[in-house]
Amino acid sequence: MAVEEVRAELSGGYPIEQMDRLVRQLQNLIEMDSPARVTIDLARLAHVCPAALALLTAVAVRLVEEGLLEEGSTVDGPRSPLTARYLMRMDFVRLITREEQEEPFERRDDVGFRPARMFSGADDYHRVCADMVAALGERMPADRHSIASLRIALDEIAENVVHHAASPIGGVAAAQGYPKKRKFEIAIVDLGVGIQASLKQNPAYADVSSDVDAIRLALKKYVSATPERNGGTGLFVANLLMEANGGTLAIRSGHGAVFSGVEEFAFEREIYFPGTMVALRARTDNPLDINEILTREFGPPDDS
Amino acid sequence: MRSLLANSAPQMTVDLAAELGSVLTSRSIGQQVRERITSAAAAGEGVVVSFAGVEAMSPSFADEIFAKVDDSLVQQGLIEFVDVDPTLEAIIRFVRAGRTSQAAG
Repeated sequence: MAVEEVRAELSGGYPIEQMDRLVRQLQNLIEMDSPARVTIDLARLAHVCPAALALLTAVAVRLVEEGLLEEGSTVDGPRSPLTARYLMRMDFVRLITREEQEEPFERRDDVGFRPARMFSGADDYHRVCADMVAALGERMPADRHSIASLRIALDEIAENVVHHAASPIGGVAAAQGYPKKRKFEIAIVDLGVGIQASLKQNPAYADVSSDVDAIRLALKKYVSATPERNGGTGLFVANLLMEANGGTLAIRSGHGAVFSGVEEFAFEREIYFPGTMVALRARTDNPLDINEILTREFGPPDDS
Repeated sequence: MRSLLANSAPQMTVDLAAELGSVLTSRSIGQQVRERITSAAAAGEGVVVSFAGVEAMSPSFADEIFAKVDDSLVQQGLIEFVDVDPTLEAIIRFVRAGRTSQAAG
């Protein structure tokens, strides 16, 4: 019997604003449920933001973990040396091509900082978030309050994956600093049930009827699928931080896409994304201070 | 550190910054700390939880320690939180208000 061939071709740049194009171009792989010989053609790829990197990694990891990659599956590396250098640190390249096969471009294990890291449980998400933010802090001009606040925001978002997503692969976190643009981006992607399905576990939110409404609800304080365990604070606090910083919080889940912060818009997309993608884009020339924003929201310290 | 439990014995001190660093994150770690201090306090041991050196904490961590802790143990003086920096008070109010709001339905 002939082996089915599945191909995904990425080209150009994939900033946060164009994540839908990436979801569309990866749709063949996202929907794959039987083994095939997969080719991921990155030859004309120019740039991937951390959310795109995390999504690409998550999709590839699912294919591997579910045994869907037939022999001969490969990644065609980018022609751009800069993009190739960035991607050579991605785990999905090794995963797709397998250890014994020749990789499409040189892989250096001495680079140290991997822009994409996986986590699956309560123990490792905490370590991955701490490592990732520490590495970002070494590369970006940020004060310690900003680093601490970023770590808290990332930790809370990763915790949502562990507690709510029911993702078959856990989560993928990715980060990238852009020192000349005085900003950084950090993203977490899972391939789980999505925000709407998760929130509906709570009878109080059983009537939420769209993914955009579910995302907007999840951004409110104390909204949780499992209030007896979780506090419903993670996305609310991440959003407050981005608003105060002049940054952006972007969420894609199911058919919904919501941008909050300096950019505010929401769409119901045609293409379904199974899971949740959360991306933070923050400025390094504005503070990120969780204590300050919560004091602003919930009052100053007691005098006593 | 100023503790009202200083004259009662036995007493356990939990130095969070020494154990976990100056930034406290993770619900599961917060849960472990809460279970440890609750268990000791429920057995009659006074517990002093020191926040000296703690600069920031995540809402999830704070929720486990300040909002989910058995308040009767705090009221009885068996659990005492000391050296909490004033900048952390807002997050404590935030998570406590969340539990109050959930309890109110």
